[in-house]
Amino acid sequence: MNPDIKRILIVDDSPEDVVLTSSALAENNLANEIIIAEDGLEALDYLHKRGKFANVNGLPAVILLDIKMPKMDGIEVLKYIRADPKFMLIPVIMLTSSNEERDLVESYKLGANSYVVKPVDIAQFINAIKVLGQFWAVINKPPPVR
Amino acid sequence: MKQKTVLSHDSVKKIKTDELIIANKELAFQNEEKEKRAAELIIANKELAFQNEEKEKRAAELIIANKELAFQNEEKEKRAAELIIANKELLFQNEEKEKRAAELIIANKELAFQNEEKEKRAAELIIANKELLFQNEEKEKRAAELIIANEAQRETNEYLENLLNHANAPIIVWNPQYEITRFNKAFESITGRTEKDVLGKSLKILFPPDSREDSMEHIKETLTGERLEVVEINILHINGSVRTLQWNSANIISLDGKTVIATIAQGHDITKRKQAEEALMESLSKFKTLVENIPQKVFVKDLNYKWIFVNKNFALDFHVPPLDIIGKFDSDLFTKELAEKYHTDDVRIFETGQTEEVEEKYLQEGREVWVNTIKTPLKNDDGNVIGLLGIFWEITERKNAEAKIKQWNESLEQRVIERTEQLETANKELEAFSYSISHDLRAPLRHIGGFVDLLIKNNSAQLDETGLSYLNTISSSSYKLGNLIDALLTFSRLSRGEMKRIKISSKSLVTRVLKTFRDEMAGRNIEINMSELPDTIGDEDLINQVWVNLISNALKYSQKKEKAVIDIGSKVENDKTIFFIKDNGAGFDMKYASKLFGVFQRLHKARDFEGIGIGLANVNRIVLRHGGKCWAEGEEGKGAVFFFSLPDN
Repeated sequence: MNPDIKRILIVDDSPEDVVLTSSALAENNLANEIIIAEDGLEALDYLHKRGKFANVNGLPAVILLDIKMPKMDGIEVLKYIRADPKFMLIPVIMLTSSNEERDLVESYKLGANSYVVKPVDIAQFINAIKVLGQFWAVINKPPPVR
Repeated sequence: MKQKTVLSHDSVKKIKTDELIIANKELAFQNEEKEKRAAELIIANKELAFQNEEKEKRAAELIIANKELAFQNEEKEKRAAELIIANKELLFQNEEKEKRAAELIIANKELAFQNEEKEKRAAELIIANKELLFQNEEKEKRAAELIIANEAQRETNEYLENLLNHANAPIIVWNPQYEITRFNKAFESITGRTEKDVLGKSLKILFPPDSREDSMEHIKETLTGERLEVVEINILHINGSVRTLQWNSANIISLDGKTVIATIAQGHDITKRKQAEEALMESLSKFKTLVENIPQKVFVKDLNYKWIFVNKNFALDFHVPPLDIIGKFDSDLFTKELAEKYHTDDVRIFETGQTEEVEEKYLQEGREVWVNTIKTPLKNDDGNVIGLLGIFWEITERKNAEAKIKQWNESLEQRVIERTEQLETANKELEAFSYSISHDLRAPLRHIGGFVDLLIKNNSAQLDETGLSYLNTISSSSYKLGNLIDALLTFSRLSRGEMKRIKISSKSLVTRVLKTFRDEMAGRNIEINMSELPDTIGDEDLINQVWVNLISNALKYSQKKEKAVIDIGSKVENDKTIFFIKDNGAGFDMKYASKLFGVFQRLHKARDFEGIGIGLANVNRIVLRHGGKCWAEGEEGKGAVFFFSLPDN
């Protein structure tokens, strides 16, 4: 295990995608500590240490954020994170089924650090995660905790 | 102190001198007094001598006076004798005087009587004088009034005289025997005759022989009526020329209110207008035959807005022969509103001298219809407007049709708006639909593929070869389905996104696209001939996609040829630029040409040529959105040509 690997927060309502993403991270030896939030609201609970995350300490090094989710979608979560000074510096990677242009444009406008379309081909996906994970979770220093 | 009491020698001397001086003075004074007395004595002596002389003179005078007195006494005596004689005379005179006094008394009485008479007469004379004075004043007043009246009369006369003589209009006065009594300057210049020549002569001499009787008839008619008559009368100039006057006259009636004592007439020279009318009529006769035989309604008006010609078709609406309309005005035949409208148009045409064409309302047998009217000013040889020619025909049906078309257009527009709204709604739904496909359809597919891949990777040891090949098939199928979904989404996006039309340099665009195929062309024998490509207008990204697909197709279907030849060019037809790309590849059977541009339509087996059959559908969609068209020609085994046109604007 790489001691530098930090905590990754996956926000995705699809358990299948969570498994695929987790296995892709595992394939790349990036699965040091993975936190799963099943929708946007749970992601906010985690950040604010509320609900089932009341006892968790520390902010994630990177957030993998799905766009299409019930209750609160990824775009809204991103907006929230970027508006709050405590979280605004956390790297956010949009990880989504959609390659709709408007989603891509909206995400970058709101300050997403990267945007990845989940490919049908798992191999491609693993490769994408590898690049992203290494860059954001290993190479990039996490922002200072406030 | 000794000095005071003891007088010096000098002092004594002095005292003695002083005493001597005083004594001398005293002596002098006494001498003077003696001289004065001597003088006074001389004077007194002289006085006495004078008094003696005076006394002697007085004595001489007294002697003379005595002599005088003696003379006076003698005189007095003489006078007394004379007085006695005088007294006697006086007495006689008194007697005479008394006699005269008695006579005077009688005479006085007589005079007193006469005086009384004179006084009476004087009083009477005073009254008579007063009366005369009053009468004189009255006469003066009258005289003053008469002067004012005469002046007013003179002014009026002068005014009338001037008016008569210097009026521009010819003015003439004649008596009941039709003898000319006045003849003004204007009349002189019209006839070439002088007032002197015509005074007392019959009116007849003024008229040309051919219209003399008619003119006299007219004039006799005016004599019977009181009101002004307006007639046209020809006047003969002594040089033989004839002028036409529009003539109105008024009778001057005597104090009895009945007898006509004179008639005054004033003329207005309308020769020019008459000549214009005649010219008009002359030109009119030339095309009369024509206008009587056309279905349109034709009319000609003179400068008085009076119809001087209408064709049969025009008169037909009023059920009268054309002659009945000639001489009438718009206001005689049409409603006030229409007549005013037509008149306003006529006035403008006379002013501007321009032909006008209007669509206007018209009254046809009491029915309001629409007509198309062309009014043209008629001009004489000098270019002066002398009337107007009108031609019109009914267009009610056309107007109704236009109104209907307008109504249809409006409702069509409304329908277009509604349809557009519906389309916009449908478009939004479609967008939502494709967005949903993009997310929701791909997700389970990804899961199938993903988990199959995990299965192959992690559990292949537990599967036999057949099981493994099934899993591989599932994997590749889900991959293909993913591609199909992506292609469909792209296709649908092509028809939805907004287009940014700009000027595109076709040549550099195609050159750029060709470069992106460098890898695919590597190692192949390909000849590409690109001729002149005109610039065009369109969305550069989309047109780029068209070229990508067409070039990709040409390369793909010519890949089995030993030498691929691809021609890229253009031609212009009917304002449209047509681009084409020709290859010498597999070609196609023209029977299926219509299927080429459909979604997922393929004319070749996937085994022969890879592809999902969406490329040409995308090309077609893009070209259609630009207002162009796609088509293709081909022959199996010999190659194909793909065309697409783009409008120049």
